[in-house]
Amino acid sequence: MHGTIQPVSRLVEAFARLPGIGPKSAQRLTFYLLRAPVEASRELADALIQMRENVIFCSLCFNITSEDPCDACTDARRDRSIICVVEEPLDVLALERTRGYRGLYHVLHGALSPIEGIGPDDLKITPLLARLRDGTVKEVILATNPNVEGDTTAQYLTQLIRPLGISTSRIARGLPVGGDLEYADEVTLAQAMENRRMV
Amino acid sequence: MSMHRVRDYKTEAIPLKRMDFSEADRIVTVMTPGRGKLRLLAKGVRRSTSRMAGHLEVFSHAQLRVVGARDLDLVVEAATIESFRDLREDLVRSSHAYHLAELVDAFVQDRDEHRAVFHLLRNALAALSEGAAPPDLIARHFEVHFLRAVGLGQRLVNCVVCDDEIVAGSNSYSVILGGVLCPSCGRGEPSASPIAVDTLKLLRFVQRTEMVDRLMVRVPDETVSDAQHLLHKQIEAVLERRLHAATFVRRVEETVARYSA
Ligand SMILES: [Zn+2]
Ligand SMILES: [Zn+2]
Repeated sequence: MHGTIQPVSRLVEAFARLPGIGPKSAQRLTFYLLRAPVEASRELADALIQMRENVIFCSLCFNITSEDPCDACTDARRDRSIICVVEEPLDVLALERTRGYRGLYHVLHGALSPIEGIGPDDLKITPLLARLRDGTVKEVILATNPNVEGDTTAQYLTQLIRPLGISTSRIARGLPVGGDLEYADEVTLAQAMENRRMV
Repeated sequence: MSMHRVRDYKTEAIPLKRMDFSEADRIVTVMTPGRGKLRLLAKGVRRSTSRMAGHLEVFSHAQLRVVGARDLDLVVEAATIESFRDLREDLVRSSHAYHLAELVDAFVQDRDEHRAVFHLLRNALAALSEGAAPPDLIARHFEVHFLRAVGLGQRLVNCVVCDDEIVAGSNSYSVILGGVLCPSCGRGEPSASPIAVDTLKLLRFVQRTEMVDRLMVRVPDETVSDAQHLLHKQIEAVLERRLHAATFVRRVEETVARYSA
């Protein structure tokens, strides 16, 4: 950036590297902090450092946690016979908000993306299989995203898990709440029909 | 009046890959018949209520309405023409589909028209979905015809060096020269390695079989994988990098074979 002093342009560039933040937003954030009381910047800097230093990944489920193993993995009230497999830590948060699931989790940290060269070894698949070997787990729920890459990941995991004698299930797909039938694609519509329930 | 007239166009498209962008958007790379490869912005498609998301899945054939913009053109409507659902629900078939998409993405430049490539891709995805031939044979057919469509067609009938007709015997193949060499030319060419008679036969058969659904032949697995090895080495020599999805195809085949044994 021409015409700006180095510490300012350094922060603009750092913001601009974050997902979803363009150069314009990066400038806006930087100049907001420049005008705000110095405490605002201190608080932000401290929060960033604390987050990186105190958040780790659970060595069992690979969710983010401040202690290893995480709360979910050590919670005695949770059903240890079910593991729900998700792509990202944010998916755990989304499922926890439903308050409908009381089993354990496993975070893969991504989905298979063969075109980009993201293969099975780039995801937390081997540790998942290790968790399934002691006989405690009876069911694995595959809650990867409902798109082609998420399906590929679920299908690949099914190939690996089924021979262990553990049942696998895929979260149901269907019509989104608030959506219109006429705009649904045929795959979603067909799956919504297949997964219908008696009322 | 503005100098920049907003272009608004309709096109058929097959999404090859997608990248998350901003809060809920995606950049979708698609192959089209008349406009080559395009990178399009699809807004809001990561929300579960998106009307377009299901119509922009990779390996589906869709009709799009697009509005031109300064950076990335914007998809404003999407409707599925063919979903190829049976392909998406089968791990082996979809692993091959990723490979086809990777080739198109790697070889075709943005906005470079390649009508033949679009139709090859559409027909190969349809064949994988319908089970018109074994998936690996469909992939080899695609590779052979794709190389020709992008100007890298293999020379399989005459020697790539001296142009003499190739007769059955100890011929060789060069992935650098992209064709077969007669025994005498093969001896002096460092990039040439022996090609089995059956492998050459298979490649010739695939090359002269235009329609992928006419591939119903019994070919030993070794011959198909021999042809695959040769084609992939040639493609990797042109791209100067390894093929990603092909590694996944192999991984899937191993996994499926291990557990169905
Ligand atoms: Zn945990
Ligand atoms: Zn020759």
